[in-house]
Amino acid sequence: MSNFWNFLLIGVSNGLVYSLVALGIVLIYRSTRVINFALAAMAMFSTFIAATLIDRNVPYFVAFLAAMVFGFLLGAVTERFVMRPVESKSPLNAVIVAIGMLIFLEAMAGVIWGAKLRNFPSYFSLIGLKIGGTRLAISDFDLFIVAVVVVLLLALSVLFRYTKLGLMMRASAFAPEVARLLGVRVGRMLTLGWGLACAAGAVAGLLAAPKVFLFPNNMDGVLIFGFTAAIIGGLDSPVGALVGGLLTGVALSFIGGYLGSDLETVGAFLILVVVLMARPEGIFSSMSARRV
Amino acid sequence: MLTVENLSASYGPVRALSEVSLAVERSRITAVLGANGAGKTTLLRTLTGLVPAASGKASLDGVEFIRRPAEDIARMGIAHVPEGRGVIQELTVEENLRLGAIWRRDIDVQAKMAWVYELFEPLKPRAGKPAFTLSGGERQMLAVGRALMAEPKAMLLDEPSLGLAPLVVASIMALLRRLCDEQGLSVLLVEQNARSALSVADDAVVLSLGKVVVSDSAEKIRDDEELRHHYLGF
Repeated sequence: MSNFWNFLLIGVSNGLVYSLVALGIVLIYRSTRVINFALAAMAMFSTFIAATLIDRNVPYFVAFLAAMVFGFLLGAVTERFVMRPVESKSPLNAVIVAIGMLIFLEAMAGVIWGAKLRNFPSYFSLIGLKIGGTRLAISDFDLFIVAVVVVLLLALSVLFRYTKLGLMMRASAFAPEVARLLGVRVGRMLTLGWGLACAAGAVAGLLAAPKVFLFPNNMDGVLIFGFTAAIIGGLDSPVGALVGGLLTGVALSFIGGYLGSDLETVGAFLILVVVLMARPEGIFSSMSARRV
Repeated sequence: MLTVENLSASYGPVRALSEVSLAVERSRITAVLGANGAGKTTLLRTLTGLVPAASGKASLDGVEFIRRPAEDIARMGIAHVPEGRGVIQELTVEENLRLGAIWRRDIDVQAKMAWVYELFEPLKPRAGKPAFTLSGGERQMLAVGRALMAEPKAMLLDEPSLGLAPLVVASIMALLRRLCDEQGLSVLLVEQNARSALSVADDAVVLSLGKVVVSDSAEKIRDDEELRHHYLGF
């Protein structure tokens, strides 16, 4: 029985990280209909930046913020100068450019930081919490993950729902042409959207790194889980990203816990296939609402 | 005053507009009539920067605007209500209205919104509902109301009567006339429904295959039976 609760708690903690990755995918997909395959590399690169800063004795939280800002700028620059030129071409071009960006960033990280696994410090303890006499599988760091993700999601929903900027960003995502006719600078909104998405990706990298360690391509696995989460959530709904991440995290935690951890990736693909067969538009997609 | 001089535009090798000229003074409505594919929608889309102009000029109160980005043209005070209503379905009625004045920093959005709700009473109880829950007529009201939020100088409407019941069309046309007079708007009204457009317009141009074939007062066109039969089908 205690195994069950431990798997559930770990699943929630991991799932929130997948939610952030999914959110990064969703924020970009719903405004440009592009899957940003480079998100994994952007998260990795930003995390390496934080690791380098921490090595130089920069305080953890300053490095954390710096990595977020770096992620934001990397995303914004990528949209403006790498993705914008292929925006009007067929969607396949954007996919190929995004994959190219992924390979480029991972290779650059290898050149700069070397292709060896390194660990990433966590500010909080990774040792399981003790409640009464039993030790749980979740740690102070997992609580930190929950807090960070909740704060981030609240901040983003306030931005989108209650500010003029958020309204312009949503309008640009839903109906770019109409938004332009109303005087919204859609191009800027896209750049901003990519920035926010990649900042969310950077945070996911920072939160995943203490557990999965840091290596030029080891955020790819996190991206696959995040991508699964985004598909479950319907690719264009931020709420769907959150729920999809939690579902994916918990499901994989049970699969890993009861069946063996090497089945986790297989499990993710299995979930993906089942969801795509049963409900291809995802669970939270606005497309189903629009079909009414 | 909205002036268009020798405006041309192409879709690839297909010339969709050729040398179109017209002028709409303040507080006047010019109807743009013609069959499907005559270039009416292209004319509006070229004017508001969605289709690149091949040649020609257009200005609002003497300020040239053709070839500027669409968002800058909107910010000059040219409101384009696109075909098919153009409301953003996922946003609520109120969000759509707010968006209408989003670039204006000098406008009391609340007061303006209250005014729009007065003009279009059915919208008020739906303020918090997503726009896809509205009927066709309500969506048209929302699209026009949203365009008015920014206090435009010129308004370009693309087929506002499309798919609406005759009674609703009549009330929208009457309202357009009133707004045009009260607000000093220059209105360019694209319509397939020539009869109802001519009932409120001051002037009219008839397009055929991208060219202006007739340009005259609405009254004259209404009375010219041969022209009506030939180009307007009534």
